[in-house]
Amino acid sequence: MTTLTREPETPTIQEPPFGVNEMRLDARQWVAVAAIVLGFMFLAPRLWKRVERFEPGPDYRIPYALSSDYWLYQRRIDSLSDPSVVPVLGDSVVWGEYVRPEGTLSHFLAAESSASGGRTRFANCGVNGVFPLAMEGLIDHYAGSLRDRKVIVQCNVLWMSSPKADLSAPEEETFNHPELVPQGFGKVPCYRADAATRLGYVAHRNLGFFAWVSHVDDVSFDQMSLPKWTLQQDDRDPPGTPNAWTNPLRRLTAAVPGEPANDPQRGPRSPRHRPWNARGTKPQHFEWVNPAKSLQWQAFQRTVRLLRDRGNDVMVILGPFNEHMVAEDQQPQYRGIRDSIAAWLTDNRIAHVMPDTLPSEEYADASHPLTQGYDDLAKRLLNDPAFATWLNTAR
Amino acid sequence: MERAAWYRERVPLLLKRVWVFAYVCFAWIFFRAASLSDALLVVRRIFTGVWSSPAIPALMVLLACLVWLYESLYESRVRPVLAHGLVRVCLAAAMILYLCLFSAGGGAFIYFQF
Repeated sequence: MTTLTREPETPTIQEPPFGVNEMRLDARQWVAVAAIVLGFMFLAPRLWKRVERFEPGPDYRIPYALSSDYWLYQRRIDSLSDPSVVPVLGDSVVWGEYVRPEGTLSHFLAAESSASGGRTRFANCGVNGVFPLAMEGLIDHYAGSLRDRKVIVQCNVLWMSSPKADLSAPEEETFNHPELVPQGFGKVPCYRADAATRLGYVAHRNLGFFAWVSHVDDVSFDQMSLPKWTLQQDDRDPPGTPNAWTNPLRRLTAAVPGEPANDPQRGPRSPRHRPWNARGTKPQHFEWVNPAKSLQWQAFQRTVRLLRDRGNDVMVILGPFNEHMVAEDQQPQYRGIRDSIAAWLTDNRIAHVMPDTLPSEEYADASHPLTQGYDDLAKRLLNDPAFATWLNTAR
Repeated sequence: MERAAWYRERVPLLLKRVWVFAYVCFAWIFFRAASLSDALLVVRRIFTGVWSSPAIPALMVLLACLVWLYESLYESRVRPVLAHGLVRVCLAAAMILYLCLFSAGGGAFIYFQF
């Protein structure tokens, strides 16, 4: 008896399914995806600029809440096409931490200049919380259109008043505008962001699309991403989520918001608008950082060089630091720092003015003048021969 | 339960899905909690806490619905449409743009006083 044995069938080898959500693309399709994404990234911010109304008036300054909106800052700088407008760059001293927009340095410079028959206007291009290391990044990446014009830059020695303010302390520190500082490891000792965060910031700075996304989030969604905004909780107990079922498209306004009409935190009626010593503050001892080792001063030097490399005629205003707040025994040290800064500016043939310190009652703290202080400072600057010569010299 | 005839034949499909979904969510409590006591606390609160709106945002519902819609279409007669190159390219681009547009962290600007 013979038995018939069948050869076992060779199972056909089939490609296992990728899964129920199969989404495999070939190389050509990926190229098409990249083209769509890059096209959107290129076009969306440009189209948005045409849709969103932005009308900076003569005393316009970036609203406090939008201090990290660098796309808006870039737009602000780009809007300064009139060469008779002199941008004033700096930190919250230029921005005017304690004063209203009509109480700032740029306002009084324009007003005093106009009163004496001048036609030069001044634009407040200060950003709250921008220290020199951040300003370097701001000017480098977001102020590329500042070219071949007169520019005023304010130098605030407050940023050298301690290793902490200088960001050279070894201990980890939280500070404003981390997106703008150098992102290399070790360049800013107190900056300890992880690699992913640093790479994200680098991408932000170099791809305008992401700065635009942040702008839309800042303006429309209370400085949050859309998913975070939909989950935002209110102050009730138990907390509610008022935005969970709100149509986010209604939040998209076609205008850049300005400052609140009556900001209770700023202006002569504000309780903060008081002389620095009204609260009993005494002159202080600062842990001054030697300019030769100061990260902030080095960054300021690089910023001035960058502005000059772009063909700008730079005027540096050194101060107005509140010298009344410096303890008597530290005055020589402070003056030594101030003079070494002035010496570098002179050596590099950079126009600069070092106005005398304002009256004590015109300061709100170590570096911010009050409204009257800005008025006095503007008068002093316009009466300074070096400033007047610089201002009246045609480019 | 699938072995029981009454479950297989009498219980509507939708109810079965809701039950499985609730069961999986319940199991996730133990998977996600930092400790067993935390997990038990969550379970206790589910049954003893005050009932309030779960505050599921419309955006999350929309995204979940889109995934369900895709899966339903994938198992239906329109599957060849989803397999079309152009549709895949558009879907992939939309997903990448969603990540680019909505994944930024943000945060209110706070001035750190020195």
